Amino acid sequence: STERTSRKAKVDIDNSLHVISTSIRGMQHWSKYKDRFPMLFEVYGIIDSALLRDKTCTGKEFVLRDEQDSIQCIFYEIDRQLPRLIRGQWHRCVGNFDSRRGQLKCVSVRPVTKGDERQMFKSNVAMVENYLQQMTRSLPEP
Amino acid sequence: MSYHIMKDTINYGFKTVISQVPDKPQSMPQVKITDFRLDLQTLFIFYDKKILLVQYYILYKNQYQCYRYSKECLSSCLVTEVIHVVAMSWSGRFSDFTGSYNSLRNYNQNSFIYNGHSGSNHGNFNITKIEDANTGISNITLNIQTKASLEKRNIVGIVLSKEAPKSVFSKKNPGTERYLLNFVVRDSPAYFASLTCWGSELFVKDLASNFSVGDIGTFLPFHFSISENHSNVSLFSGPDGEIENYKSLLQVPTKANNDYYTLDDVIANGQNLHGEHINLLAVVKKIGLAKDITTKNGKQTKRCELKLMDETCPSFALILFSFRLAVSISDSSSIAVVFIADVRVSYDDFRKTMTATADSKTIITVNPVETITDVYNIAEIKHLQQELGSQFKPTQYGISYAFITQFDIDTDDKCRQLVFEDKGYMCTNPDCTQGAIYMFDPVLDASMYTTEYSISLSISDHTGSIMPCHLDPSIAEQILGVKLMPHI
Repeated sequence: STERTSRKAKVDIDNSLHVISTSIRGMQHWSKYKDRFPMLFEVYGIIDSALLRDKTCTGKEFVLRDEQDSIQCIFYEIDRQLPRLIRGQWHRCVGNFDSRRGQLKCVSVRPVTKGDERQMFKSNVAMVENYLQQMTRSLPEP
Repeated sequence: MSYHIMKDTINYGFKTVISQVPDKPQSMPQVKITDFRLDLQTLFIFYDKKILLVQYYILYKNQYQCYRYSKECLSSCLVTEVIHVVAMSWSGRFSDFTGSYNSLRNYNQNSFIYNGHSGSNHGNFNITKIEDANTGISNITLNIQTKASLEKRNIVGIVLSKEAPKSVFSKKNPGTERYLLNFVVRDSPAYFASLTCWGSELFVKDLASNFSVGDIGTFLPFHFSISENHSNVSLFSGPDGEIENYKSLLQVPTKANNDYYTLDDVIANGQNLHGEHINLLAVVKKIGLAKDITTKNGKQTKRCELKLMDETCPSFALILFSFRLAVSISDSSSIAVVFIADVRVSYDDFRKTMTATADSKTIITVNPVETITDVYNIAEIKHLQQELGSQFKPTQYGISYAFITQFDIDTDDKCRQLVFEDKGYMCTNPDCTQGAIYMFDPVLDASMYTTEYSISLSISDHTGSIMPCHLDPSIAEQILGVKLMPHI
């Protein structure tokens, strides 16, 4: 019967898009569940490199760093250009995590505009973390 | 000619339409609605240069909800002749009582209506809703003045305002005083009534000390004027849920939420408004000390001055003559906002500016209610969708903090209402131009068509996504920043 309940739990997972607000480390962790449900990440961090074109010249690469970790990011300028972003400032990135290349493919990058925005984000991260832990409790670790 | 309260005549959430239904239903006039205007409490429908009025409020989780309706939705309804019925309290003034008591009684009789809609049973006695007693109906000549309509009834309501006991010199027995106490009670968002209790000094003062604003009282039996001999007022002891229902009424303003003057408007109008009764929405800045004063006719009373402020004016004086108002305001932990209905404004010669004075007509609503407070995440909304899916026109309001994950302005939008097997896969969405409307009224006047944005989007959070979500046309205009030109 335990097998049946675990199968039922699998069915219960909503397989629509989940937008997950998290830290860079959290993103690396939760992307393990990628094939369970589609996900998009929202992370906050300081841009810690110059913005350079990649080899194919279609995207712009930069390094994003938060309190604990840093990550390589890429933004492909397909339908719009990346605005000029200032190194050393807090930015908000939304995108897909490519775990094979360890890279965040951004669909939106913008500076943190409001003073209390990061504070709000932090409390949101805690809530999302809690929720996802509850949700994936019944799932086997991938 | 008979009068009915027609519940849900317009089936899409309009609570009560009081209709004058001719004896022969065949001759019922079909009204073409040409335009309508919305405000919080009422929906005005204009046709043939006449204004029809539909009572309009929705209770959700005991809170008052503003509800919007599209023109298409209305046009599919058969609206019978609608009589102007507004829930107005009888807003008596002190001077009304100085005349003969009979004139007061006559007033009551004329304004009584009994519509055969009985109140719900509660315990051993019937509770009449103020709504059903229809206080303050104007413009209607009643021809159903039967004895039944004057039977005494009980009402249960929350005390919106209460004045200090007053006394008048009796004309019948010179040298004695008659005491009176005014209450305003409310039992639904749209209906409230003024009650006057008459009696001996002991009775009235006892009553006054037993009740305070916010208490829920049983008024037994109900009459406009409650006299010591025939009536009784007691605290209501119903089930907790019921008491909460009444408590929430305390925070619903008694006027439309846009019907107020800003303080600067009052000052700008100056002496034009002298002596007028208006509504104010302001923040209480300071509550002054209550001072004992003696009135012209030698009675002791208390006077308390409040300083109001809003974004247009830093300080505006509001004078209260009965101390209880200030008490009720200072009791609530965060006073902040007050909605003051029917306050008298006058030009103060000494201060050379306008001031407001609360009189017997005034009703103060402390911290007017915020209608939508429930917060849902996407998973909860999905759950709600399933729960409410089986209802006709399910409506639930809430706030959701979510990301817009799809916003395609080129989409060829379909209504995409969920259809259910037990409804025969029929679309029940009244807002849908291809849906229910044609079932009711296939012949639509070309002048009734409106052009509006129809965009669907997806919203997501960490718990999932909802796709599609309908974007309200007016919100779409705001988001896009492009006003829609009428299509000619």
